[in-house]
Parts: sequence; C-alpha cells; structure tokens
Amino acid sequence: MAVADAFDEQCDYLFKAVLIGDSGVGKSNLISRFAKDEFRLDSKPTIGVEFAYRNIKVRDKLIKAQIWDTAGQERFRAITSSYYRGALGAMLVYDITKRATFVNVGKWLHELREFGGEDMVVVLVGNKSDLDQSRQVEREEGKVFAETEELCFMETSALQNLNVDEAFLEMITKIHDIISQKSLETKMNGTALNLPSGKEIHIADEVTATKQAKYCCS
Amino acid sequence: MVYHSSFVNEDGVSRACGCSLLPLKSHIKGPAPVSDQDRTDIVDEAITFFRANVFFRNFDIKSPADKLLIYLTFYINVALKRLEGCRTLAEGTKAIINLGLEKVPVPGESGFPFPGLFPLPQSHKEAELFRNYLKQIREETSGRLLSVAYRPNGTPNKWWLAFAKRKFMNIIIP
Repeated sequence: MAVADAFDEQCDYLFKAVLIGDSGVGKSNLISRFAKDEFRLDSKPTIGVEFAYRNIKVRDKLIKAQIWDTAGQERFRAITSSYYRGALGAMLVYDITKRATFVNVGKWLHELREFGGEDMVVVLVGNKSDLDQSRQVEREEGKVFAETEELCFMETSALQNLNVDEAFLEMITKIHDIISQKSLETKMNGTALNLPSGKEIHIADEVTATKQAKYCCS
Repeated sequence: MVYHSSFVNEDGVSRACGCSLLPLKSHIKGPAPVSDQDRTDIVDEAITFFRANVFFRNFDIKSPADKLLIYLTFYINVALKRLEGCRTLAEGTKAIINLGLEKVPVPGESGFPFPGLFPLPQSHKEAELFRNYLKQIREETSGRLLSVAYRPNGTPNKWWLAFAKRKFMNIIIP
C-alpha cells in the first residue's frame, strides 16, 4: 500500500479508458494482459464492470491508466452513461475469427459517440490474431474501417501478447498529446485575454523588478 | 415541512401507475420525454431536496410528481448505502453500475418499496412501461449522484456520503 500510495502521489495524470465490444472477443484478457501480464484460458463472461490500473511513462510524464472492462452480453449491461463518464479513450474490440463481432463494431461506435466525449481517442482492435487459420475478417478490412471512421487500428493477440502494450500505449500517448495541446492552448488564450492596458503597467513593473534584482546581484 | 415537486400539472405526458412520465434532461434510452438542458427536472429536484426530505418519517403528497420524488429520495438513499466505503470515484462508479444491474420491481411486485403509494398497473404493457421509466430515471439519478458524492479529484464528499446512514420513512434497506 505504501508503494501504491507513492505511485498515486507521483502520478502526473489519471486517464480513464474503456473497452467495449461483443461478448467473447477478449476484452477482459486484453486488460489482464496489459495490467498484470496474465492470460486466462478459462475466461468467463464479465458481469457488470471491472477496472484495473497500470502506471506508464509517456514523454517524461507518469500516467496512471485506469482501464474499464464491461460485459458485452446485453443481459449484463448496465448504466452505460456512468461507464463512459470521464473516459478519455476507448478500445473497440472485435474477434478476427467471428465476422459478426466486426459487423457489430458500427453499433458499438454509435454508442461510444452518443455517450463518450468529443475528443475521445478510439482504437479499433482486431483481437485473436494468433488464430489466423480461422480468420474471417481480413486485416485490411479492419484498417479501412478504422481509416474511414478516423480511428486508430491494431490487430492483437492477448494469448501470445502480440501488440497488446502497443495498442494501449498508442491510445494513452494520443490522450496525453491531446491533453497537453489543450493545456497549452488554454495558457496562450489566458495570456491573450489578460492583456488590458492596466496589465501592461504590471508587466513594466515586473521588468523593473528584474532589473533591480540584477542590480542587487551585481 | 417537506419539499414538494414543482411538477404539479403535467398535461399531455404519458402516464403509468398513476404517474406522469416526467421529462428528463437525458439521452439515456427510455420512455421519458427529453427536457431542455437549462430546465430543472424531477431528478434535479430529488437531489436538491434529498438532504432535507430524507429526515422525514411522513410525506404529505400534493401531486403525483411527489410520488416520484418519494421513490427517488428512497433510491438515492439506497445508492448512498452502496457508495459507503467506496473511497474513490472509480470504486463508487463500479458499485453504482452494479446497483443498476439489479431487478427493478414495479408496484404489485415483491421488492417494490412503497406498496399502496402507486396504483397497480392494469396490464403487462403498463407494468413494462413504468419499469422502463424507473430504470431510466434511476440511471440518470445515479450519474448525477456520483457527481455530487465525489469531488472532481475523485475523493468522496463526506457530507453527502454521511446520509447513507439515514433511514428514509423508516424503510429498512437490505
């Protein structure tokens, strides 16, 4: 707990991200592979929601990623609005061996756009790439859909741990870049908005103070 | 003196179990009409009045909307009980989502907290309409409650969570 607390204190950002997609596409195993480097062959359907954390360094910032997992099955779905609230990123997961899960990506994307924020970073994930012999969705199809909808795209295998970290890191890095850009814009706009003539005098005072400081030092 | 709902005469709105299905500022799926974002809805009233109304053992009803207010006051009390002990917004969100998974009984069914308050549904269709409305209004209430029960930095608002210990109208929550 001391270590966890230390991590909490050291984090520069906490980013919430959600996984969505049909039941059985491998959402829970993607998260357990990413957060704990574990894979469960005996995976059961998720009931309700779960979340997991992992700390990641991006461009010298320490980010605590809070990744949410939910049921894909309709009867276990609940409170979609609270699930998406505050999420900065989403992974939209389908199973490359089950075409129906790829066909349903459009439905999930619609829900995401209804409840998620405008700037949400979305990564389309074609999971189970280790089962290439059973493939029903070509990589190119996923890539084209992602380009059309302006999503990132990655094929992964949670079983073989292929591209799992890469997919999460791409999402988290993009979130970080958007947050940083917005922060910069706020600063610039703030500065511009705070320049009535009265403030110029203050700036002059600051210059004078600086000169005085130099004078004192010398 | 309890706080009453301002939604006294709601003409032209669908009804079920003696209740108008009042509008909500919400895009959550359900039978409620959509209200303008700048207006107060019944959920706003329930949250605003909660900390006063929860102290009352009796509630004199002045309009059918007051029945919904009673139902939501009870629901908020139940939700706060689930949030008790959740030390972060994430844990609170998980608890409230799990609450949302539970069965939502309508008048006449076991587990409905206020027998006699609402007329029984006259048909299966009316029962399902009211159930869907209750599901919608509960989900909307849950989302807004998380916003007041936890601060922007994700820590609990002790002032709100302390009300988990109150018993609304002496109803024991399992």
